Amino acid sequence: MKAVVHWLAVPVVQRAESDRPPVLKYEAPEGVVVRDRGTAYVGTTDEKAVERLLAHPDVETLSAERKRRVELVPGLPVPWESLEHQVLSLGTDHGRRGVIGLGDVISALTRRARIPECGGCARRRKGLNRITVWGWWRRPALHLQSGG
Amino acid sequence: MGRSLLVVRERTALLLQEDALAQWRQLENDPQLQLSELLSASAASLALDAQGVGIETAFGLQYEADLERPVTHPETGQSVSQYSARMLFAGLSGPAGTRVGLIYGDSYPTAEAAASGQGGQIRSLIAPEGGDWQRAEEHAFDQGNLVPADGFWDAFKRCLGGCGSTCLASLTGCLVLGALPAIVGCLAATCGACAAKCAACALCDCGWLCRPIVGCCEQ
Repeated sequence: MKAVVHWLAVPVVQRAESDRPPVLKYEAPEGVVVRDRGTAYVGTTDEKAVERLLAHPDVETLSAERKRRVELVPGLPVPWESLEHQVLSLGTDHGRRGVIGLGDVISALTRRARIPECGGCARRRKGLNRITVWGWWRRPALHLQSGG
Repeated sequence: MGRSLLVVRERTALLLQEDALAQWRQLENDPQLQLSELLSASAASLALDAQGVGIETAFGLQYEADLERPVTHPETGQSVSQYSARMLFAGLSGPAGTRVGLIYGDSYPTAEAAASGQGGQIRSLIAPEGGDWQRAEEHAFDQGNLVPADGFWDAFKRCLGGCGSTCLASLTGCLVLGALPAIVGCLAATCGACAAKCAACALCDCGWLCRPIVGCCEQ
């Protein structure tokens, strides 16, 4: 059975440590959160969490009208449905795990030896990271060009 | 491959313009970060008048993981049951906006933060003429100078390469959107939750806790 993504509007509160960003007022379930103008829109498939959250008077289901008023990415027509895919994809991995470049290896060794990294070292590290020493089978072919 | 066995629940968040701007304003008040100094030095490096250059647009990505059981920091003994990382992006007003962006990243908790009390790191991203963000150089402000820094941006982009074909296909289109926050917003919309995980991974300097949760994308 296909999971249903529920969207709820949940208030946020400032933490006691004032230098850290505000958090959801109530315990958050697994899901995707959109933070806009002091409110969090929580997308989740966790039915029990939805029931628990809706028991609070200041939590409500996000209406279609309210969704329309939120511009997810300024200037880009990004539909809420694309975020629903994100909710369903949670729990899967991103691709970088396990790929280690030569620059990273040298950097880890010098850091262990407590040798500070200079600006030039950082550039060389970036260059050497093109040589993959572990996880080469996972390395994606990424060639980007701007301007089309 | 599934997520880390350590994680029972994970959340990714998109911080839209107003919320991200509010978080940048909070950072402006932190003298340790030297945000205005970094901003002025970055504008000056492009021979732009630093007066009137300020943060105009913003976007952010956040990743949170609830752990299966509290884990103990090997050195401080601190018990941790949740891990979070956020990456904020800012675009500047005026002509600087098409060539200078700001990136702030922090995670909680980190071994470094626990040991030294230091929080996040802030960088400026300076794109070459024409605003080619693919070739942008990352800098930090150190002892009164703009110095090249390990790349959050490079690590983030490299990681996105593993987020699937839709994400890869969107990269070229997103990178031409002008200001940095718009580009990242576009990537976040198409690359999905993977983008927020990549932000966390790019911030993870192979620390004791982040490594098993989001992996190690050393900058």
